[in-house]
Amino acid sequence: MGLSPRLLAHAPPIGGRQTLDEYLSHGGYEGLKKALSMKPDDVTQMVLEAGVRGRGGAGFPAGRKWSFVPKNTGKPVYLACNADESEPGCFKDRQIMERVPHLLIEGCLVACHAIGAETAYIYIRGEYPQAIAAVEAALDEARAKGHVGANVLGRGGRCDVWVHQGAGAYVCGEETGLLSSIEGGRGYPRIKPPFPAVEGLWGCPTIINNVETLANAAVIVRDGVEAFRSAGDDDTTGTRLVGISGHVEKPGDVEIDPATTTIRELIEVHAGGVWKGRELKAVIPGGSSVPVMPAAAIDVPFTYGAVQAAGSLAGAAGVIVLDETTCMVDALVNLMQFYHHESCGQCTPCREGTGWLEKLVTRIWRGEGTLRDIDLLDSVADTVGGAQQGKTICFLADSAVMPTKSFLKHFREDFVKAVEEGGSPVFRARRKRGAAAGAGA
Amino acid sequence: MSAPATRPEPTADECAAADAKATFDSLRPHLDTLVARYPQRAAALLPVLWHVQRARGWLTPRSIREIAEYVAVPQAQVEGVITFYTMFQDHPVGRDVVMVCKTLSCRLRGAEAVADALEDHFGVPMGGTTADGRYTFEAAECLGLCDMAPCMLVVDADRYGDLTPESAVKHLEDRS
Ligand SMILES: Cc1cc2nc3c(=O)[nH]c(=O)nc-3n(C[C@H](O)[C@H](O)[C@H](O)COP(=O)(O)O)c2cc1C
Ligand code: SF4
Ligand code: FES
Repeated sequence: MGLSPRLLAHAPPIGGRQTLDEYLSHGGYEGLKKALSMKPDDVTQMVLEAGVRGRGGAGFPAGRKWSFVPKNTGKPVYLACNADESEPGCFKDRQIMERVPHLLIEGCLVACHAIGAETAYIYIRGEYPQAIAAVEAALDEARAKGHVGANVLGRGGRCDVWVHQGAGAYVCGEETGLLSSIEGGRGYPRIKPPFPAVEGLWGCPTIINNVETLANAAVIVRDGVEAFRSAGDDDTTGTRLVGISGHVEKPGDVEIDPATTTIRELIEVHAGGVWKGRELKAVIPGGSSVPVMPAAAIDVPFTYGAVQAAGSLAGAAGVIVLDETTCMVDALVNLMQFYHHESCGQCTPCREGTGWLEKLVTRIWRGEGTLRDIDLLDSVADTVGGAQQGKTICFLADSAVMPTKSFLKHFREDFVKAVEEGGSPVFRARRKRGAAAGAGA
Repeated sequence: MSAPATRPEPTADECAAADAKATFDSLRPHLDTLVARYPQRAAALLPVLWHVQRARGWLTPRSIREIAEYVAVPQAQVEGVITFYTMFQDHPVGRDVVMVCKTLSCRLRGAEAVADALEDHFGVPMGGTTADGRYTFEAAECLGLCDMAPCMLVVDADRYGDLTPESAVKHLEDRS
């Protein structure tokens, strides 16, 4: 609290876009000027010292990732900005792209200088026409003024930045799925190693960073390491952009100091509290893939460490709030439909496993499950996923497992009730209305 | 993966009508600028598909052949890409495609009632096209507009949020 926003400082409200002139009047592209006067390795070092961790979900330190780019391979180096933002509950990157797109462009240029890239692709999901228009308009302005293109800021270096529009597939947000998609294929994730920093786009070294990570890189170079680290703690440095949605009075986004803002404050202060004067039941703090937290666990600051110690993950900072009336079986059916639909189908545990999870939890939702099905759901979840053990190529399957296991751990009584009372209250109400008995909308 | 299409095969007339909207040659100058952004031609496949789909409404068998030849990849790859991504259409669609979000943040705030109202009012289920060819409706996964939940997106155009069953219908009735 009491923080002056950095990423969204001077950002117009939703619907507006900061122009190049406005951006320049607030010190825009000063970070790029500074970066271009520095040796590339020194820029990487600065980002490393700032300690900024990837804002796309995994939280990998950006400076370390940049340092993995091999030197003198004779191959071009690429930057891919991950603006696929398809994780349910997440909409923070949209704020940056629509409202302060030049900050993202500056971040891309700073990163390109540090890693030695002359081309960056900003991969924006196809469902974001407003963000695409805002970034394209900003790129036009930046090209016209020589910030992007053949001779960046008149210093002779080339840097092209292009928007690559996605077409509806969550898995393209997975970093190697994203590369497959840029290359013109299905968005199939790839086996690692080789890691993209060594072998990415067209077999060349490629760095993939989230929108907010790159925006932070621009801020770090412009304001310095110390200023950047004045928000956050030693482990979670800088501010975080958080989106709050679900059962709150005022859904929206806010930029916070993660060390001094608790999840409870996010809900009660920034989002106007649980809606309709109701009690809180649960919070999914980092986007739909992270473990759910019961209401009693939310008095923790929004740092990676504190949220993890409380049993979940800060992830991509999409806070989904569930009130006391929520049937957790209904919520889990909805999420399992999502993961099953989005599995790319390459790995059997994921393709079949997400289908089984959806089927089992739907059975319970419809009142056709038994108590043994609840245990079965839990044990099936154990066999799905396992990217860490090399069972699947990417983490999508694990992203279905984490909600399943945690929903059962904290809210087993909802599942038992659905078994004993003939299905989820949502299913029963729907049947009463005589509507089709499909689980989906 | 997107669900397998259960719609009837497009008729020859439907294909011809879409192809007549723009000749491939008329699209080439812009397509050439897209290809120039990538070190390899095949990488332009997604942007090329987008451009042709915008010009012709949907991706006809002829478009698929022309695109495969243009970006120099097998036709099977073009088809594989189209079926992988939910926003590429290989069947005729309405003048606007409306994606109605069904995912958690929207469901928590009434997405199901919104979808029901749209289906009732326009007389087609999700996945269907209105008889007048005005709208195709699709049940969509999270649109990244959870702050406006429940919400819907008219593809390539406008988004509508904080929907009620009534306002959702009205927004679409009010579009010209
Ligand atoms: C299934 C899946 C979907 C993902 N979706 C996104 C996404 O939409 N945006 C994003 O930035 N990262 C996403 N990620 C994380 C990326 O793989 C990657 O870690 C990130 O883009 C790296 O950037 P960062 O280090 O700056 O966070 C996803 C990961 C998985 C496994
Ligand atoms: S884990 Fe799932 S989404 Fe990831 S590559 Fe395997 S099948 Fe595809
Ligand atoms: S859940 Fe509907 S837009 Fe995110």
